[in-house]
Amino acid sequence: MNQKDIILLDAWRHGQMSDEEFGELQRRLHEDAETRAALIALADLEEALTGLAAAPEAEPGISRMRIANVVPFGISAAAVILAAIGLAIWWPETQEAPLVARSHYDDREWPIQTVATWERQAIAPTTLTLDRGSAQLRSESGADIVIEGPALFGVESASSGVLFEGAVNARVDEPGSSYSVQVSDLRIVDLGTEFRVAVLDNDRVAIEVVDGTIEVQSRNRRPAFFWNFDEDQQAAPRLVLGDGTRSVEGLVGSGALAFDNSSRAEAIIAEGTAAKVGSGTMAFGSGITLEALFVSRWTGQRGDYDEIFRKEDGQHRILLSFQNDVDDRDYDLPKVEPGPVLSFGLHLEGQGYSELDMPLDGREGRPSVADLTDGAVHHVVATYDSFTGEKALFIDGVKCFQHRFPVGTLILSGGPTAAVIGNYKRWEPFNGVIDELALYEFALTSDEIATHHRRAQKGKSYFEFPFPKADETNRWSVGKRFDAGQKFILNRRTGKPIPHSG
Amino acid sequence: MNLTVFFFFTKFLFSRQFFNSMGVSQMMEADKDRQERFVALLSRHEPVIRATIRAGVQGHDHVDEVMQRVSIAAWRKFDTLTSPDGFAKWACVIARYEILKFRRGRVRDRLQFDDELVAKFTAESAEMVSMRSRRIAHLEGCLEELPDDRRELVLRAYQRGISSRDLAHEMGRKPDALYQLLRRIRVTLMLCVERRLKTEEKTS
Repeated sequence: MNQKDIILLDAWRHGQMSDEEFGELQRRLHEDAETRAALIALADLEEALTGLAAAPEAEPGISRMRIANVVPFGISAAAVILAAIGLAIWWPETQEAPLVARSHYDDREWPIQTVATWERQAIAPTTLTLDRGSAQLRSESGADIVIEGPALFGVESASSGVLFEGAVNARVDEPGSSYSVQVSDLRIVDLGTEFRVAVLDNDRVAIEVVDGTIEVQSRNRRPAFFWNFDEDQQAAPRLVLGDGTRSVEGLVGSGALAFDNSSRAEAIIAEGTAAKVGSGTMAFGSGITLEALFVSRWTGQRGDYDEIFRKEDGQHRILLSFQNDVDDRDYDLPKVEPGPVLSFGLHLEGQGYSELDMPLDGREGRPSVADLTDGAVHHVVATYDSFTGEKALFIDGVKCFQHRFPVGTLILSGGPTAAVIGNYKRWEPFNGVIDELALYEFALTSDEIATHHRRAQKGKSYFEFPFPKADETNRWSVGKRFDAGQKFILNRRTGKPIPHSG
Repeated sequence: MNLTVFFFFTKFLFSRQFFNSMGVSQMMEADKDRQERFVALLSRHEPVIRATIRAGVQGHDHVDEVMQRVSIAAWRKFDTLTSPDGFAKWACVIARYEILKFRRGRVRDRLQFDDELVAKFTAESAEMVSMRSRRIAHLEGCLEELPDDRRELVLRAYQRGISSRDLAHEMGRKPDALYQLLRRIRVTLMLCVERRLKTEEKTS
């Protein structure tokens, strides 16, 4: 290998050459196979260096070289690959790929699912505020929706809405189409019908069946996705484990996943993707909870990031991770001083992407980095509830940090990128053990979180019931049916009937 | 649109019960297996594919973008792959076309190799994927041969999100001086890797 060639090629790779030198290099490359081989060799070297540089120090006493033994060279996240799979499904041949941002955040703007038509305009998931009068929508599923003001109505998906305030009337005429309206922990599902729902106050909701039949369903307060990582677990979405991830004895139960802080420390969730933001089984709208047990060896140092969970659908990401950066993107809401934080990121419709960055400073009831990296098992829960607007972080059963958004603000999430446990691309590997990871499409209450923590402390699963299936069909229970002409008032959380008070 | 794509689309349009009643849940299961096989192969061979792109495209972001296009195209054509052993070579051929397509949209970029040259070296690179994987693996040993401060420097320089200007500022050096130093380290590493490859060939 000719050293002069290498120097010329290196200058080209780094844009450090004149047009004349470039002409000379191109001529040599055309003529000489060895120079072309040197170009490939230089590219191989730089790719390998990028991979090794991405593997941060593991733990005291283990050098970067040791990590390199585990990961001979860098392999970027298969999350991108699964994203590609999602993209390949729908991306038209002629469409230009969006721009890639220069950072650890993939800030591309993915297409968003159209959920309804309003005044002949297609609309994406959004919350409509109506001061007075009425407004008519047509859902993508074919339902005619009339909102009666004053009202606050979240057009959450193509076949469902969330009523926060006021009243809504839904009519479904077309065979095969459907629509449901959610009010807290109840969901009214049409079965070929017309119905009206009105939120009366914080507790009560009035329902009237105008035509046909409806079913009132109660929310199953179970996870939409749950991995206990035990040998006997069934029905959880499959995981593709990177070489830096292995099964170990459970923090609860028989199994957990250990992440070695290398670039290949990752567990890619091979399901839950969809072509557009706002669609797919991992599109969360009115609420979300991320819950996990962990033992962390995070350094807390500037530039070190340890991901617990991340689904990077461009600006519509869902993220729970340990971070320490200079806040160059200004994502923190509320504003906090730069330093080590536990970060919970969501894109809220109308608000954009922001992170609830809880300083790990040991002040005002918040844990410090040392508290969370003491070798003990800790319980972390991140919640967002559009019915209250509260975004919160809980550690070991106690709420430690929160922020309020306007009531009715929906999450915009879901899309083509596969979610990953324990890493983001190759850059942000977790260092430690993660167990009992659960995602819910609603916010757990403080009491539920405290109960889960108590059970985990005793070495038990969060749940008394058998492991839930990772299946949409169990998110709501089959409920009672009502026919045309029936009017009634229910408690919007329990679903219990409330007598008319006149 | 092939069957798989069709079922992906319809997955979001119809209920699971509908699918079960139609007896296609097994097909969806088969599709998951296909996804997993694809992810495992692409994940294993990505460094070689990315390096092929690097040889024809400048800039991390552009490499990322072309890699993504290659992933998409490879997924679309995955059914045409006859043997998993040939995945890396097959994907490098796809990379060749994606590099050429990407460059067509950037005709004003200075220092772009002509299409004929790109076609030539990407074709050659696809023929030597096995040796290239061994070469990448040898880098680790060569890095160990470097003095500690140089090893730290080169790894820092290749960390994501750090510009050479920022690194130079951090080190109190001029950007050009830093480039010269890094270039010397790269040349040292390349020669070291080649030496180790030759030794390996002699002893095997």
